[in-house]
Amino acid sequence: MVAVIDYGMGNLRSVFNAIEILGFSAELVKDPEKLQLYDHVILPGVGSFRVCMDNLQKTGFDQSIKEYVQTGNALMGICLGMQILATRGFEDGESLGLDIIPGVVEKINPLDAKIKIPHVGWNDVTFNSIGNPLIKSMKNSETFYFTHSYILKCDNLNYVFGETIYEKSFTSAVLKENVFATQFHPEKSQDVGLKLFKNFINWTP
Amino acid sequence: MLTRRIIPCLDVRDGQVVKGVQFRDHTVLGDIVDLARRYRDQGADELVFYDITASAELRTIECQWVERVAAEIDIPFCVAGGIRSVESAERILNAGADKISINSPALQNPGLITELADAFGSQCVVVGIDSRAEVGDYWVYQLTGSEKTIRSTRRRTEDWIREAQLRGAGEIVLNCMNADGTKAGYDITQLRRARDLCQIPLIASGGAGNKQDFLKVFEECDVDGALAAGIFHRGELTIPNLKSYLSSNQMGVRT
Repeated sequence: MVAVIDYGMGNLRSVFNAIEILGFSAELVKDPEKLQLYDHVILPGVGSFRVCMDNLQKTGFDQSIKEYVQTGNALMGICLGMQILATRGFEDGESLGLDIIPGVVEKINPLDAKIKIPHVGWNDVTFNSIGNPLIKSMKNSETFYFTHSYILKCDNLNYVFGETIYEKSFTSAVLKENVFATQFHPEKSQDVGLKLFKNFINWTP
Repeated sequence: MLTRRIIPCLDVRDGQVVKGVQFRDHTVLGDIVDLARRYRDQGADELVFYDITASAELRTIECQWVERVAAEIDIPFCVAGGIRSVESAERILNAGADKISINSPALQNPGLITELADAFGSQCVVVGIDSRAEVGDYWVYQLTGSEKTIRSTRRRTEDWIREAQLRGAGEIVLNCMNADGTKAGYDITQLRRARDLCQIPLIASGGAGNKQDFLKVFEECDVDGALAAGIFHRGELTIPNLKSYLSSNQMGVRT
């Protein structure tokens, strides 16, 4: 059973649908205390960093996510759900994140005025790791759907799992022990996205 | 590399997909989910659903069909039609849409763009602009879903593009009304001018008649995506055929 954290933000339905299409069961979890009952948890998110963190604090999910990560079970953040894992963010002023992945979240800052923000559309992700179970039966580079204006700058390059070029290279996926996260939307990326969910659900960190 | 998006547009009226010529004389083409699934399977990069009568009839689109689409479709899709408030946008996003597009309500209340961007992030907020060439300039029209309500706003298109961006829009869809339904090609002159003003993604809309038109609008206007309806609905061009043509002409597309 896969938990999808429902803290009042984001497009949960698509993530939920993707997991059900794969033949697994998913549950939307609103009660932070229940998180510890699962061994695979997905943290989605759409909106701003500050509002996201406020909602996590209001609902008590900030603490329960940290406790869940301590158990060693698998966590997957998606889009803002990846960014919020960082130490701090600079959307809507500066605010603290969950501080699970050391790094900061900053606005994409292109040198060339022709580079548009937000970064929207299908772009390539090159995986740094070979043979990792999370990218089983995938190519070294795959195309996923992105839509975002901010990126996570990882302090520790060992946690950079995937990279994407949008003028410059940025971190589009991270992996730190049992915590995996993507800036792109697997639930909107057709077959390759489903494959990634399947790998995540079958993953024992 | 970020690829150019091919976006079939489905005009929705009373729960069915329709198509008109120059925003008039609509005929029914089929069920929303059937068409959406077909384009998804063919490799569309995104879908747009316009409830073309919602603004004209002063109602918000119904959520049931948005939920039906979301349950079937694993590519991003955008919904437009009479979204006038953060609450109505939230219902549509919660029903499973990835973005919302606002047109007439943004013209009536430009502050809505900012409210929506603050609530959901700019990447969720698309501003659709219906623009027509007249007396040497381009002008914004509103309530274009019905010939009874359509009217000019006396706003210059370029001014409105600038304002929409400043207010927090994450993408502009420029519907060039003179070209719409004519199959004579995208309005290159107008789109090029719009591109020069746009620091956010720009989507071309109106006039696609063949695959060369798509290549031309990407090459000459540097748009991020090209939207089309009739040419796909009538089966005159398939998405795989279009993408293989673009790809063989060194235009980056997802295949």
